[in-house]
Amino acid sequence: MATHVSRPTHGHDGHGHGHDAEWAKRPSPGKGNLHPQAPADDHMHAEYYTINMGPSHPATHGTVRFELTLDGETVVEIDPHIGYLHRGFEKMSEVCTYGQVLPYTDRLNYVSPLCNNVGWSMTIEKALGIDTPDRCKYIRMIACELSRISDHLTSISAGALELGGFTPFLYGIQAREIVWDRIEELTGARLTTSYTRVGGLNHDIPAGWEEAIENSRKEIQHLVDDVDKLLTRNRIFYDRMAGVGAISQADAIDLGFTGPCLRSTGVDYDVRTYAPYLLYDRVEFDVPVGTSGDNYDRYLVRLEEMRQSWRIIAQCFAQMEPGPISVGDWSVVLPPKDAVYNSIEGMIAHFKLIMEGVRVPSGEVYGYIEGGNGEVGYYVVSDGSGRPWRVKVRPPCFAIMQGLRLMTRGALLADIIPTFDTINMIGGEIDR
Amino acid sequence: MPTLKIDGREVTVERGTTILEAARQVGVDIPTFCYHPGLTKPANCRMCLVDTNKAPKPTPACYAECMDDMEVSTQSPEIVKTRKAVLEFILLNHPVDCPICDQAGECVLQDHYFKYSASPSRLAHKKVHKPKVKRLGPDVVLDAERCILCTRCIRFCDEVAGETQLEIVNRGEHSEITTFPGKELDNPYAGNTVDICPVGALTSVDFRFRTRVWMLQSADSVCPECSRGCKTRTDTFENVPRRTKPLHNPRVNDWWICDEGRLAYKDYQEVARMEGPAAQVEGKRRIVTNVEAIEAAAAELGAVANRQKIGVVVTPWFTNEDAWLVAQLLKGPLAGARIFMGGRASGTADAILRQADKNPNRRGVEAVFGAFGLQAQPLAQFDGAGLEAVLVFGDNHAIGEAQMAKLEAVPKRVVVSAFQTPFWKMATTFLPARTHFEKVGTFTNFDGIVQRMDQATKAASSCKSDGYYAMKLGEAMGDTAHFGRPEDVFEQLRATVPGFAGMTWAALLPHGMKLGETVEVTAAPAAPEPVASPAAAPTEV
Repeated sequence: MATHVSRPTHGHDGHGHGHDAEWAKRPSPGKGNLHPQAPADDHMHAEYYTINMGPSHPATHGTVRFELTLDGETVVEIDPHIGYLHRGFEKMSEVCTYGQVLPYTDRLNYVSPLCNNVGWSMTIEKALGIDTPDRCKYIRMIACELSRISDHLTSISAGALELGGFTPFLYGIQAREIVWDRIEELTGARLTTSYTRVGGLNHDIPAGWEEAIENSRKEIQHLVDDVDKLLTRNRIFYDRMAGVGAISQADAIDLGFTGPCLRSTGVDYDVRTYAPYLLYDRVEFDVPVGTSGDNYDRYLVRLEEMRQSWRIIAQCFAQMEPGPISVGDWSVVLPPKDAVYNSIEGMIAHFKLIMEGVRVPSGEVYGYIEGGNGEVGYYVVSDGSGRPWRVKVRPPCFAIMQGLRLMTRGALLADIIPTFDTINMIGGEIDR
Repeated sequence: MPTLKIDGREVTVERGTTILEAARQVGVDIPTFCYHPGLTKPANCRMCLVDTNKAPKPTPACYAECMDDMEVSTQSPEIVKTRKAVLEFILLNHPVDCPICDQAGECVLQDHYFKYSASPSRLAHKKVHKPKVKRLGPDVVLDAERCILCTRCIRFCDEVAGETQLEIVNRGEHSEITTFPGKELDNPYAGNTVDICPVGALTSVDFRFRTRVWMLQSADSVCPECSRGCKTRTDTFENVPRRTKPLHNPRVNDWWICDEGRLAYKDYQEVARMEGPAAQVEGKRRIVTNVEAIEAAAAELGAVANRQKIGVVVTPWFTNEDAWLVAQLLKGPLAGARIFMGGRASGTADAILRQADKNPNRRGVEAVFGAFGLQAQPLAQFDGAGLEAVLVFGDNHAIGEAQMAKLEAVPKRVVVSAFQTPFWKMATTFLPARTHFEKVGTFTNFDGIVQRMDQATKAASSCKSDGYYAMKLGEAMGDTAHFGRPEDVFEQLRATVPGFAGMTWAALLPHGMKLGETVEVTAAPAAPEPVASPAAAPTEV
């Protein structure tokens, strides 16, 4: 169910000075306010000038360049140039078997690679018309939620850092390190996870991992609470975030926003609840939504989503039962090594899967899940062979980056930084 | 004309058509092991079993004939189960050999198991072991463990090669392919048993353990070793031919090829390749550029004002396109020159495939030259007396020492050839040529069937086709250029040479066209591949 995130009201804690009222008087940023009225010092204004921000600017992480037209410090026009991290993922996929594409998906959203793994595998499973065992689904959910936590921690911490909050950055990254330690225990890698397989998982969760997760949860929640305390009611942080980078619900929907950025405008669209996949219909969790669609709301939504993710993880562990983690069909999943080395049946299945790949029936399929930034979609066309004929990724931040222009035109140059942070553009994903 | 339904698809076929053939007509895939369209049908592998409403038990589709009102199911649960059971039995004693097996990657057993079973083994005992390396003949080795006893090889020897050499001995799981006592699998077509073996049991001594098949690149080719011109596939790795496989062409070779043709690709790897153009520089033969060599050749030939004092040795190894370009040279700038037809000596022939004429395109070259009124004497009648210059195409001419001496006695000797041979040695000007593996073009076989071949390997940039040199020489001596792509030359060829008029470049695929044959206007383009040039579209017919 959707719950509204609550924004603090300043003034009762001693350092509010009726700021909200003053804030309201300020010409609001966003479209339509480019030149509200000719200021009195109009004659002093020189002509616009155009500057480059990025691609190697410390705040344009993910590598992006903004071509800015400035009127003094006011952003008249912003033209984002993406593509600096283009690797040709979609084209490369056409010469790989479906299994070989998986490691490339790690590098899409590299802050939540497990979500991409799960999304890819589920898309191919959808095309094959197969269903994975419950245990596999629960583990995939846990993996996705851990990824989401990692994603949100990164977004919040980096955002704080770029507004001058070094301490919350360290706390957030420390928390993310703990998440990544658990992910490393699960997959063997911090970032290049490649954990899922078409039809299941690479392996089951390690022994004692549930306990490790529970301990980590306590540690991380403590750190996140600290970040919350340091930022949420922080005067400077609030002033830099609230009311900045706002986008209306209608614009957000028109541009194809998904994820926290859409929910911050008050739309409760979440793939996990609107088109429940895996076993999300068996767990209870709230979908936090904002009201004003500004940077502050996006921050609050992410903060709350992390707490909901922990709820989901706890329920997954509680509901999970021992069992297989992959479908048993050797025409989809690699046979166990014992069968490969000691029986011709396993050997042939292994050979065919490695050399030619899973045979996906011809046709097209679109698979989508809720990633850290929103809806991660894979559109795959198969010609019936073991390699995709065409792959198209729908990266959530591609749609959201389109909104950057609406969010920052008319704002100050400095407002680009927190807005870009809460958009949480990931280069690997947007450029592919 | 029985009408029946196969998986719900209705089809009417000729009486006597098997269910399998009818199913293939409507695009229903029925897996087989022992069935081969060119051999009799023992129906012993049981892989093609289908359900019909005409029999209480599953019926072998390769053998059973279609009946009226028959309803065939290839996907019923019983059949799916039956196939799994058949595969389980076939794999029961099969060794875990894929990593070392030459067939892996093009193995029917792998394909069928993966597509129709993909189930684990239930064998609780040890596998039965059989001889792993059993030499059946000069080029065929049997791995008896891998054999699924489909008997294709036995039937091939009996029915196609006409020499009964193979048999199954012992019973049950000890059954094994072997040669008759005192016999070897040494018939001249024995290599085909390796091709038709659906698994890796029969391997070629020549190809065994040489290259993994998924590394190979393939090009459709025509075997040049005799005037039969079998349709072949040349498999190359790193730009070197690694094996030759026959392709199906019912007008020429059915599914087969003789061992001579199959192994001939190696002959071209044993002779040193000559890739450097050479010409006389300050009285000595030196490596020069192509352009310089062509200029030198044109100067040598052009200096002989009386063209009758020039001898030109042509070869039945020309493609039709080469021959056409050479003909332009011989009727144009070199008109009047004396023409000698070289080529290899005759050899063994039989009633199956092999022809006595061991040259690929005598019929085609004669047809092209005939169209321009060019008469060639046999090279054996070569008499160098009075000749001032000689232009020799090719380097595999059967020629005695005396003849060779006569050739060498001619003062100016321009040679177009590919290998280090006496012809290369005697050349005053040398133009490096391409082998047939490096050419795109057409050959006309003894029967008048014109077939296309594709380029299998890339030539060094200095090596050009005979036709290219003919055109460049003509150009240097004042003629106009004719050469475009081989298909462009073919267009000009079919406009000027009778017999080719009704053909199109595209219609030469897949099975070639006979001289005098005409593409039917209403027929869909015979070639499945996109038309390579606008000129190749069937316009003038």
